[in-house]
Amino acid sequence: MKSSIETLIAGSIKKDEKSQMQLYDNYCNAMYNVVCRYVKNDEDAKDVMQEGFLKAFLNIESYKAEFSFGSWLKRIIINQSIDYLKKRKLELVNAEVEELQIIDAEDWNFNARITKDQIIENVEQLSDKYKIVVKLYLFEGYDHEEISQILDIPIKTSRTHLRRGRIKLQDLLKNKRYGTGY
Amino acid sequence: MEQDIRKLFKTEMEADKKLPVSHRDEFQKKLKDYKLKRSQKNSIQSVFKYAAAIILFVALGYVSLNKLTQESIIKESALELQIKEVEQQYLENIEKEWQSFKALTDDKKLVERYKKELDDLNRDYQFISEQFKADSNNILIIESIVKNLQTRLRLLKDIQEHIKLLNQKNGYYETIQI
Repeated sequence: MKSSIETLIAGSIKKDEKSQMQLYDNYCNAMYNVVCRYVKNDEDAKDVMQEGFLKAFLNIESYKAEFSFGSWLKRIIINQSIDYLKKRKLELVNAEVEELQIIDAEDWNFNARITKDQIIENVEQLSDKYKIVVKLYLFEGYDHEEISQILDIPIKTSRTHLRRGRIKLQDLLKNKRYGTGY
Repeated sequence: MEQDIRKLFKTEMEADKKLPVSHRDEFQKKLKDYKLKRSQKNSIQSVFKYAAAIILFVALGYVSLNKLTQESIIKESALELQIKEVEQQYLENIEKEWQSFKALTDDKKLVERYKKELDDLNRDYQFISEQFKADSNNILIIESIVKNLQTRLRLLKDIQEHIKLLNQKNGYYETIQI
């Protein structure tokens, strides 16, 4: 599989359409699902995903084997999704940055009865700027440095948004009284 | 009981969203269009590049040619001025010496010999000057001018020697006369 992906990448560098289409076939579903976490309109999500692939093929020479191709591609797809959101006037930075980071910054312990689906569902209830940072952190596994690059915001802002988003998420889940732990 | 919810997301997210059936054909078309667009863009860009290069070249050529001609005009005029100045000095000296030479000698044969030589040189010089004006970059012409002037200088020296000789003779006669 790995070597075949490498062959397809080499082919795509030479602009071989067959290789490009095979890479598309391999990754389109996963990437479509990534985009759908940010872009709620299915038709737009498909377009964003395909634009991301075109961008990836255009820049495929800059791909370095030190990352997996999937994570390289995903980063481009995520950037494409954020661009889409920004075009729709997504506000990312206006919250004032808290200078003091509170000690519980890393407390991600939630009630054990809460399921993954419930979390995903409630993340959607957050306001846009918190939502996006929480998604990038929790769903995609990016750290604050990566998030600050993707969103073009200071790392401090990313931390603040994440902290506020997490507290808000905890509140939402508590108020809905999932489980009986509280 | 609590859990770190980050662990829940360590595994891949569910990929339950399904792409519409036509997405593959659509992408293939986009890919083709994109390539076409890019190659068109590239060819347009390269046309622009060539055009820009040509314009730049022509402009540079024009500017440098202008500058060159200006420079060469300045150089030429400087050269011409120098030559004219030198020529003027030569001619004045020649004329002066010529007059004093004529005044000092009655030898018509000698006077005519020098006059003929000087006239010849002057005619040559006029001719070379014409050529120099027409083709001021020709090193041969410049050399001819220099040679012509050198010849006149030599002639002038010859005349001066003659005059010296005559003066000596005159002085001799004078002392004799006194």
